[in-house]
Parts: sequence; C-alpha cells; structure tokens
Amino acid sequence: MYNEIFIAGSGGQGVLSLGRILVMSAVEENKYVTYYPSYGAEVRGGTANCMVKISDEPIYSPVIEHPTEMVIMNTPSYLKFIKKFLPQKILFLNTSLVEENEEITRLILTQIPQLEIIRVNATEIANKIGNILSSNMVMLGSIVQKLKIISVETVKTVLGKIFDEKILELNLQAFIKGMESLK
Amino acid sequence: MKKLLQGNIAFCEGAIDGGLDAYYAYPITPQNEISAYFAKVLPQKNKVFLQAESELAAINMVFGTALTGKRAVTSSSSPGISLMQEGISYLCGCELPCVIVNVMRGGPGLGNISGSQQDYFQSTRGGGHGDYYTIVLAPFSVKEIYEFAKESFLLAEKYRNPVMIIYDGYLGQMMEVVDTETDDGKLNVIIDKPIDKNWVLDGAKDRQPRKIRSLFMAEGELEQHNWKLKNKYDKIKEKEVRVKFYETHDAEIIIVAFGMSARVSLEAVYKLRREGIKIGLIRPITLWPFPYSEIYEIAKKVKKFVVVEMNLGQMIEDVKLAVNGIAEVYFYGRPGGGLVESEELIQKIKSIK
Amino acid sequence: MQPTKFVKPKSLQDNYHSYCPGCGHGIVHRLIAEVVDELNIREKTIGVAPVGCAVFAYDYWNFDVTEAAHGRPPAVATGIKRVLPDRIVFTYQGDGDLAAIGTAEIVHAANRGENISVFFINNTVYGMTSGQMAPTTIVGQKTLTTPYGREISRDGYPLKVCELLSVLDGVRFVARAALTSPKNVLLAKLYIRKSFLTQIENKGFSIVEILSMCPTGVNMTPIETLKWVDTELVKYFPLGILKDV
Repeated sequence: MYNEIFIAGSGGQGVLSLGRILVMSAVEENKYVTYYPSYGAEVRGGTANCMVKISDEPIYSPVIEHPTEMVIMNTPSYLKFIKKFLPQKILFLNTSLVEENEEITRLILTQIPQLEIIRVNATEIANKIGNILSSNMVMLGSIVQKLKIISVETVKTVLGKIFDEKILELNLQAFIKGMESLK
Repeated sequence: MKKLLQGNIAFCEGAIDGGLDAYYAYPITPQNEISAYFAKVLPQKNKVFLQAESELAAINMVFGTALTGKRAVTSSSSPGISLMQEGISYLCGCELPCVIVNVMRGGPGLGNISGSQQDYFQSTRGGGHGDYYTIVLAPFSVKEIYEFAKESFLLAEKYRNPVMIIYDGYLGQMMEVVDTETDDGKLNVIIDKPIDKNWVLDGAKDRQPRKIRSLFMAEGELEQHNWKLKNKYDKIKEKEVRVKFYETHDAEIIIVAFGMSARVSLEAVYKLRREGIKIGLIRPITLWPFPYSEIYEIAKKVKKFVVVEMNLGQMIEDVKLAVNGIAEVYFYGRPGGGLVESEELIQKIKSIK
Repeated sequence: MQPTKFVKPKSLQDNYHSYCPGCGHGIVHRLIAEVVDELNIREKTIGVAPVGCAVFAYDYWNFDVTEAAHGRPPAVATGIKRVLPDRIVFTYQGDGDLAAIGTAEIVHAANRGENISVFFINNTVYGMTSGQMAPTTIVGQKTLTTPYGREISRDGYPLKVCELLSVLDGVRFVARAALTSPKNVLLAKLYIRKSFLTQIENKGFSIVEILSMCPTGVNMTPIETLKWVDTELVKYFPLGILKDV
C-alpha cells in the first residue's frame, strides 16, 4: 500500500487539519507517514495545501510529484493544481465550491483514462448539519470510506483526541455524513 | 516513545531532553513554532524563555547565558541568522558553547518564506568576521532533528564551540513519526573525559576571578589564540565527521546531498536502482567538518558525482575539493525555495550517464 | 586618632590602568570596586565590559568580568542574570556603546525591568577610536567628525538617555552624577551604591549616568575638561536623581 494524497483548498477550509488527521490515524495503525504543509503569506484566507504520504514501507521523500489521490476543496486550487499534480487514481472534488471545467475534465481523462472522480457536496452537507467549518470532516469521511486504508474506528478515536467535547459531536456527524454520501 | 512530530517541534523536544536551560529568539517565519512551543513549555519547567527585541539581542543573550556554563539556544531563519553573525563570531572567539538553529528560507535579502539550502556557505565558512568555524549539523528527518538537538549541547561543550543545526523550512514544517526508543539518527557524541567547566563566570567565590574575552592586543597574542583555535578545529575535523552512505558499494554514479535534498535524492536512487542503474548517495551529516576524505575514497572508484542542493550550487565546491579532480562533478539544484524533484534529478542523471 | 590609610579595594586588581591622564574611567572603576567591597558582593558579582576604552576593565576589577560586543552589554547581562538570578550583574558602558549602537538593547533591557545595574559613562566622545562625535556630544562641540562643531541641522541634539529611560515603567532608579569635585565623586558613589541595592532588593532596572572626562577626546587639558564638564555639560545633562521608585 502506498498512497500519496495531495489536498488543496483555501486557508480556513481545514485543509491542513484534514491532512493531519489522515496522518495521525495512519500512525495509530503503525503505517509509515509523512505530512508536509504549504501555505501562502496570508494568515487567513490564502491558499493552503498539504502533501500526505501513507505507506507500509519507509518513505524517502515527503514531496509528492504525482499524487495517487487528490482532494480539491475550491475552484482556485482546482485551476492551480489539477494539471500540475495529475492524480493517478482518484480525484475528490468538493462540488459545493469547485466549478468544474469541462475542457479540463476532458484533458485529464485523456491523460489518465482510469481516473475516478468522486464528487462530494462537502460544504453544503456541512452547512446543513449546522457547521460550515466542518466541510473538511465531510471530505475526510468520503476519503476514508473510499480508500479503506485506515479503519473508521481509528479515525473516530483520533477525532476524539483532537476535538473538545463541545465540537466533537458536530465533527463526528460531518465525518459520518461524508462516508454516507458515497454509499 | 513513538510520536508524530513536526520538525520544528522535534527540535524543541530534543533540546529540552538534552538539558536546555534558556532560549532566546526573535520572531521570523518559517520557525515560529519553536518559539511558540518553548513559550508554553519552558516556564512550566522553570527554564528561561525570553523573546528578544532583535536577533542581535537574542544571540547576545545566548552569549550571556553560555558564559555562565548554562545551556543556551536560539533559533531563527536565514535573514535573522545574518543578523546574528556578529554574535556568533564573538561566541567563537570567546569559545562559548551554545546551539543555534537555522530553519533556512530563500534569499538573498528578504527572499521568501519557502524552504531552501541557500545558507550553506554562510554556515560552513564561519559566517561572520575572523578565522573560525561552527560545527554544522544537517538533519534529514524529524527523528534526526530530535536527536541532533538533544546531543548538540555535548558536542558544543566538548569543544567549547557553537553548534549550528541547519535544515530547510520544508523539513521544519513536515511531520513524521519519531520513535525515541530507537538509536536511529543518534550522533553518538563521545565524551572521553569530563567536560571542563573551569572557565565559566558564576562569581569568583573561593577562586581567582575569571574573564571571558576575544580581544588579544598584546604582541602575537591573537596569533597564538588563532593557532589554538586551529588545533581545536583540527581535532573536530579528525573526530566529529558524520556521513552516511546509501547503496554506494557497487555504485557507478554517486549523488551527494544533505537535508531535504538527500530525501528526494534517495527516492531517485531507489527508482533508478529498480531500472538497473547502479547509483548511490553520500549524505554529509556534518557540513562542517565536511567528509572530504570519505568522499575522496569513493572517488577513487566512482568517476561521476552529482551534487543536489536547493541553491545555486554551494556544497558542490566542497565536493570538488574532496574529489580533487579525479572524478567529474555535476550539479542539479533549485534556488529560491524551489523543491528539487526526483524526476528532474532522474532525467539529469540519465543525461550524464 | 588613627589616620585613615589609603588602600586599594579588594575588588581592584593590582594592575596599571591604560587610561590617559585626566580620564574619568579610573575613578569610576574604583568607586564600583569600593561599593562592591562595602556590600560584600565581590564573590557573586559579574561585570560586563564594553567596547571602547574600558574594554580592558576585566584586567582592572578583581571579580568575574566578560567582554561584550559593541552596544550589546544589556543583552549579555540579561542572558547572565536570567539563569543566575542571585548573582549581581552590571554593565559598564560608554556613550557610543549605550546611546548609539546599543540603543535598542538598553531601551528594551530597561523596559523589561531587567534586574541589573547599568553604569553609563558619558564623556561626549568616542575616545578609543580617536574622538569622533558621540550621541551625547553637545551642540557646537568640536570632535574629529564635527570639526566645525556639532550642528543641530545636520547631527540633531545630544541624546538624553536618562531622561528617556526614566519614563519607562520597568525602570526603578535613574541618577546622573559627575566627577568634577570630591562632593560630586561621593554623590556618584552613593548612586552606584543605590543602584546595586536596587538590584539586591530585586526591584528591577537601574542606571547611573556619570559625566566623565576625556581630555584627549575633547582636546583640552585635564583641568580645563573638569571645568568644561562642570559649567557646560551639566547645562545639557543636569545632575541629580531623576527617578527613584
């Protein structure tokens, strides 16, 4: 098993915590991981992305050149990264905030014909639950459900560790909704 | 214990486990996690945390603490380290042990806040005025950052010399697992005799007063001091070189890289090996003292070297000195915060093979 | 009655000073040494010497002394005091060191209320580098770099460090003395003592500015220099206690 997941969105969408939770969960299951975050000069509202590697073997470079999976949370990231980091297997799109471009879709599917595109209405689902900030947890649910590289229980344990009781319930709910959205 | 740690936090935990007494610094990206962590944790441990008014002040506070024999640390990033050079020269002149971290970013000038390896020259050539060296350690994993931070005080105190730990902003920001139970990444500093502390200033009680100085005005006095420092530097060169070899046993091409560049290079090495190309990596861990003779030994058999750096080509000068004309030395690198990429490197290697 | 015997304080080494005739450094060195003896703190005192003529202070005092880069003594003293809070730490700085290149360090050490003593020797010139204009050079004063006299339009005004620092909340004791008469010398010693006591009582930052003489730098005879300090310098830098809280 070797997953290179590139996650991008805008600052405040929880892109970095999404990556961190994936990595923390993988560590709980004794996998090798690296996590590398990148963000602009803005403290709020700039671009943010992270590179997550999860493997059964030691990882040399934390840098992702060709992600196996890619998670895109908004249109600017979609336009900026999709051609640069062509995902080899799965592309997760937050359809609430990503405006897909037909030409781009055609282009990437010509290059990677076997590419699977998973569309998750993450921000809208989060909004319906009552916390627009948990769109990243909805996306996390979809990723965990689709990739099956980490168990749902492990992720729930990690969420329990990082969230206060007050907001844990809401985030768990978002996580589960994200899983269900793929069923 | 096994922990998922960010590079910069691993430095903090290593320094605390190594017995840090005081930390002084001025804010600069990309190393602010270090100050934030120490600000929270050090007061709880009755250690000193102080945000200085500038890097100049920070390095001189380090100077003040170091001369009492206590363990002082400062951290900064490239532009801030430039400001500290005066203080580092004084620390070396006065022979005061301390630990300085440079989480390197792009330059020159304000540059950017991306990771880089553009301070190789500055770190390995003293950096300030006068004839001196600091011991320079280049970790390439979060575990190594932890171990180097922990053991660097011993190295500094053994030789009464500042130790610099330099890594790029990428390594500082990345997270991976640190298992403190394993020996992996340890420097294994040998302390063969008790560390002499009969020079520290802590009040002249039951002893003669002492002075700390780098000023030697009497006829020939400074020259004598410089020769004394040279003897020390020679001893460090003889005893403290650290270097790691990967797949060099049958290699026909050798990559030389440190820090993050070495990680990317290692990925290229294993990809190329799968294609049947006999390639290896030499990774200097101490950038000063540099592993000249270790590289020369390999250059007797291998005739092609590729130096990979995140700069315009700085360590390549040391590699050329090391191979001393008996092998060809090529370069692949990116300055300005650009990350080297394994695929570009692979192309480069195929083009010279 | 037994006559009082003139002896060297224990806190002074038996070395010749390298200072010029008429220089004030030797007097201040001795005053500090006398106070250190009287307070019985020699064995726990650590001095920070400046860059300038007093750079060799570690060869004159008989307690632990370190050098510091130009302007940085307050930062070095901070680094010492923070890890050894029960030691007595002081800096000895000239006007170039403290009021020009080291302005940031002195202001911030003072503002933090750093529990150290600062002895600031103001003789209005850079003595060691052969007499250039200092931040405290008075208007019209001729120096190597103000051959026609200090001009406000070009060089600005003499910097009043003690007035500046006394408004900071972390500062507990500020005084200015001169060495122009036995009475003034005794007052200087009193302020130095008061500064050490402020530190011993853990009250915080204190500074004593001492108007001193550099006959070589101001290009006068020692006697002329004394008179000039007494009549001209004190107009810009009035003597006395500026703050005691």
